[in-house]
Amino acid sequence: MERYMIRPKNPQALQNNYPRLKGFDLKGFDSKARDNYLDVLTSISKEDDPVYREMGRWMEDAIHTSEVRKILDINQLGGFTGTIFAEMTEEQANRIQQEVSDVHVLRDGPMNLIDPIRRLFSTHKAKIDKNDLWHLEAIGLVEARKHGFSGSGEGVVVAILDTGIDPRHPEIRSNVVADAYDIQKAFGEINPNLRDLDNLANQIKVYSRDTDGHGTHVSGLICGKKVGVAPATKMLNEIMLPNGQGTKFYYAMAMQLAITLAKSRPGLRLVNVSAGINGNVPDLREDVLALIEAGILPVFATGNEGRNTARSPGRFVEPLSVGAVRKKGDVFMVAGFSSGATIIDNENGVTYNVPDLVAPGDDVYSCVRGGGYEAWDGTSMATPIVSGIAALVLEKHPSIGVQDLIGELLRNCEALPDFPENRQGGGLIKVV
Amino acid sequence: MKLKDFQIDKTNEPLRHTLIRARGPEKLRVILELASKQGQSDEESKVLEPSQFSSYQEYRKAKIEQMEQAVAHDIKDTLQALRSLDLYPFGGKYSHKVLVEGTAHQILASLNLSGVKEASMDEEFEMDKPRRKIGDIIRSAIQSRHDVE
Repeated sequence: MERYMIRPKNPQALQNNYPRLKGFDLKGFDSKARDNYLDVLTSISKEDDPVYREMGRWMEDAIHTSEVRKILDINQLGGFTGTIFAEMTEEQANRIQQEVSDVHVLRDGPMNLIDPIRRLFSTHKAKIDKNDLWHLEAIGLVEARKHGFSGSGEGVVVAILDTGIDPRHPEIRSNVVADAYDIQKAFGEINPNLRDLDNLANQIKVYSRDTDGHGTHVSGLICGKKVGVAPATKMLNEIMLPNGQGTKFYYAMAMQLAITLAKSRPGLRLVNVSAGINGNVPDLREDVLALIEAGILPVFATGNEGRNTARSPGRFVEPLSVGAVRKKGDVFMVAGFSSGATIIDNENGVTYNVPDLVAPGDDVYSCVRGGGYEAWDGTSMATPIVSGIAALVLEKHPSIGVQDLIGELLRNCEALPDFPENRQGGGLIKVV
Repeated sequence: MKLKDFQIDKTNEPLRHTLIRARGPEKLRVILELASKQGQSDEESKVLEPSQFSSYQEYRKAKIEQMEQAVAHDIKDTLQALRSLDLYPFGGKYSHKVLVEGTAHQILASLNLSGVKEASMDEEFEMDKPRRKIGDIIRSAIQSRHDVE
């Protein structure tokens, strides 16, 4: 048996505890600051990391064989990386690599330690090249463009219900509609005169901006000149999650505002939401139905909590829900963190799987607030790629209804071998 | 605060507990689901088809207007009743859900209205946090600080 180190590829606890890391300026990183920083890092719990939990379950099962022996779970010592050290056969090491798809399995030894350390560095780039665009290759867009495909999403508007959009980024500058809508403003002062949605839209109008950076990354994947799928699509910025946080109020308001805005913007046919609430929250469903009835397709992320989980509203049967794939060598696999489940809806008497389909969502480069590019992972990244492809379909068929649009997108999927439908739906989406 | 059986039936658990414990004038944010009315006018129940319009855009505009009319028909009396309780509802344009902010007494009073079907507390709606490299998180934290300065 050999010694192996097994760890989640991207320790999620770090980002969950992001506010606790604030205040550390690495430029002035003296020894005292570093000690404080390490204190924070080492006090972070790994219990909320779905990949870590999946690793734990795999170890529990495998430990009963004589081929695996756990040596140390560094998390129990206050570690933050979720690393488990174990002795196992090479066969078992290959098995965990395949079965828990979002882990690094490294044979113990100094040479192999380079990889996880490198992961701690920033992926930030001022410029990107074609090697950073695996997500466009995976959906067949690079190949299609080589063969003359010129679809760009012209005439289509996508409402981005997110943290905002930074309109200064050169990739998306010409795509972002100047007026944005700050949903939080609607709830600040209670003014009965603002209750009508048409009036409200005018009262909460602001210049486009991003409060966090998430919405800018999302938008880049739809309409970015280099990183995006549909570079002529317009982005309508509804700031529903200021600094990454909103409520059901904000969601309901933002969804209904999209319908109101669609009256004066006929091209508004898509709403992209990379957010939700864990589990079944029926309260969120009626707004989805209203949107669909108004001829707008809502595209939702299913969440980053792994198998047998799905967030609302992405878990509902009516909208389009999106999971994430990653690339390993030349093979596409459902990412370990990507949510998916079989939903039994007793109320409506239906059983179905989510997500409906999957798209690239691991190490995906897109625009970041303030300029440049970073590679992020998540169903949040996969969702706008699907919105972008939907925009290409709408450009070609502007009069297509929502159900036909969903059908068209599902027809363009390729099932990934060895993954059940409740992990990938119809499979990896492709540009025709 | 004491709730009657029919008021309990209309509330979800978090709101029920909040109302029972409520003492002061602090405001609650509550989502109310309003009841549909029986019967619609001919105009509201007319089935619209894209083929009846010169373009899909025209069809959709008509569809949205029809949705507005249908919802308004269903809930206008209840909206008026809520306003008379000094609860000024948000939304209720395309769906039967409205958002109100008021004291526990006002919320309780709204539950007496036959047009209020269900009520639930507002709750957090989370961004699907992307999984980012620690270096990127630190870089953007520094960037944010520079932006503020």
